[in-house]
Amino acid sequence: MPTLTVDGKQIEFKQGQTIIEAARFAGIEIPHFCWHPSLSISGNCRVCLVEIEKMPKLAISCSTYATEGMVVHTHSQKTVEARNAVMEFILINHPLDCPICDEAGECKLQEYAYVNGKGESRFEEIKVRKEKRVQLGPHIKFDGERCISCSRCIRFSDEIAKKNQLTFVQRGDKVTITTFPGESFDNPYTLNTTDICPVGALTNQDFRFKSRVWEMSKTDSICVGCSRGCNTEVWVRNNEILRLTPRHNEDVNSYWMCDRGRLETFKNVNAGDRIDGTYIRREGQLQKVSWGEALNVTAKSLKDYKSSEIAFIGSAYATCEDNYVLAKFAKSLGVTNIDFADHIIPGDQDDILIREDKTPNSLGAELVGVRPVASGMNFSAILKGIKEGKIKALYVMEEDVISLDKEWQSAIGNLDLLIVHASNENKTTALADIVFPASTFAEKNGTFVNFQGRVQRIRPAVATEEMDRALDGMEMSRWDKFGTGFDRWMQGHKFDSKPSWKIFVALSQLLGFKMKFNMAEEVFAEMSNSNSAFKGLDYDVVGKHGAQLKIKQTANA
Amino acid sequence: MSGQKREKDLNIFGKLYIPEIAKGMALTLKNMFRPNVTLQYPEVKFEPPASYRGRPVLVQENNGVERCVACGLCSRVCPALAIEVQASETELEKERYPVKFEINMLRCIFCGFCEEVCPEEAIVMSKEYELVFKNRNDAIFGKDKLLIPVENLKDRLEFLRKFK
Repeated sequence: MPTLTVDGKQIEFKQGQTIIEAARFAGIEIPHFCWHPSLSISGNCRVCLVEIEKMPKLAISCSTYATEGMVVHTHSQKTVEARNAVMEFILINHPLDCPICDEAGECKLQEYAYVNGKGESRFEEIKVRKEKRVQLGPHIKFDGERCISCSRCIRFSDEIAKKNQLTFVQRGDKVTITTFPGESFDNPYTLNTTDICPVGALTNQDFRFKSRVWEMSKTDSICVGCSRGCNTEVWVRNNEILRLTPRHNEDVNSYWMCDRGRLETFKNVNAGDRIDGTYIRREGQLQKVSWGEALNVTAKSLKDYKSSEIAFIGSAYATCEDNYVLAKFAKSLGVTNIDFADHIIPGDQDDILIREDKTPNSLGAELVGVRPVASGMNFSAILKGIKEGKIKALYVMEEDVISLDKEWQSAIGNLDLLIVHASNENKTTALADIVFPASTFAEKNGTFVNFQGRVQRIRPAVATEEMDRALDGMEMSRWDKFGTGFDRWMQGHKFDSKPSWKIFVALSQLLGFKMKFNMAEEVFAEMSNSNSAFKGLDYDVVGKHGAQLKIKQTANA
Repeated sequence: MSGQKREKDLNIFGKLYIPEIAKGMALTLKNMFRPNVTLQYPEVKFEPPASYRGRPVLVQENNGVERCVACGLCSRVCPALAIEVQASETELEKERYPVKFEINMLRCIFCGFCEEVCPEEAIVMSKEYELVFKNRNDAIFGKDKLLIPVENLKDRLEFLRKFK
């Protein structure tokens, strides 16, 4: 491979790479605003200027191709002076409003101003005033004064979201960004521009002023909005999720995620309709009871039915671990009627990220065995069985079957026993005889298999009564580390919920076929031993970016 | 060892202590006629100088709006983690305001870092030093207790302008 020298260090590069790419690959970060690894080169911010030997002038490293034997200096006096000058120039019209800016703390301009700025400005005139608080589409607030005209957002909507909706208008220091006449910035991916905006010009309306970024803990997770399984970070303060941001994974979602996934997949976690504790129906009313009582009643009532009278509904919203333990539990009872529901919105798909399968784990649920065994009933047969009175007891895990269609609504009255695991109240829990509180994706360890057959990990970000932030090794903010129970900012509500697999394990103890799982990792270990698709995998191998399963790709993948 | 005369080896006069008693009485007599410095606290209150660091308070402008923009820097710099701020959006030009601002006076160590870091001169150290609580919850001061009109804080604001 050809090599070039950056700051005295010889690094290899691939033909066609620019200096900034080659340096980044070798771990040398050259300051940049307008350059983004996934977008086209614009070269307008000039902050990535570097000195290249034998070149008459400084060159921008983002659009200068690396060549064999090139000698680049990123910290020479000339480079540093040029960078300081560029910073001073960009800061001329940038308002000094970091205290009220949401970007503060993760702002590139702020960071570079600390590192490369002079700390003072020679500019004595009045800064240019532009429009502030412009509603740019449904989710985005735009502040014209903060914008440094890097054009990242414009290039993003052109190249990644494939919608030409944003443009520069005016010239010189009056230049600003707006939508084309009659257009709204409303494509399904708009909020990615708030991530790539190097300053606080574009801010997320949903997260606006909710928290400073340094007050939150962030946990690597997976978006549960569709079967793409975008890699995300969950930002939590006071045990409440405040935002989701995409995490880079070139094999799945690159740097992006869709607005629906970002805004709508976490609101249920801290919602008021969360099921908090175990409930049993008595005299027509759901009453809160202890875990022990609920488990005992469940175990006792399940024994009353023949295995052919019981059906289990798994869930493509639940993890592989949950579904695996459900399938194992059903098998131990001798039940063969087991299936899960699909949530496919035909046509709601694009070739960017969004998939028509709106569940994160339908492939995983299928792989771990939540499909009818031998002559067992499938999903529609179970419904038919309930109507005909063949199925008398239904065990539903994390699925709102009654909302699926009207037939379920009428059929459910025929059941003698309806046991439900759910995280939030829904139509099914309203009719259930026994309700167990299920932990959401943000409260448990587990894995999802996306449509590509890629297994990816979720991690707990929100503490529950059984998951302690410190003891269970969850991510902690400074507040979490130093807070005590007496501090109000530590008193965020902890729900009394458990991952579904743990509930099945507890039930199995009472029914006499003891499953010995203490951690989700142990469930996964058994899966990888017994299931060829998961062979050789464990949580460490899956790691931060997931692992491709050795399975045949489905036709629509 | 024996021949040397030491200071504590007193002569006969010294051994009688009379000169020393006289000296002591003279000092007592002198101080009896000096101005009184002891304050009869709590009947008489101590009025601290402008440089005094009493409990931190929020400056309330004359139009009733707090100066604070809820940037959270005081909360970040606080070594004792006494301050909690929750921002929200306002129609005013400042865009942001604290919908909740709480200082846990049991945690506060009166270091004045919050005042030093504040970009808006919105949190200042007052002259108040009487802090008594009956339970932990009373010690958490919300905006109701923290907001003080700007006139009452003139001394401190002037001091800050001069010396900060």
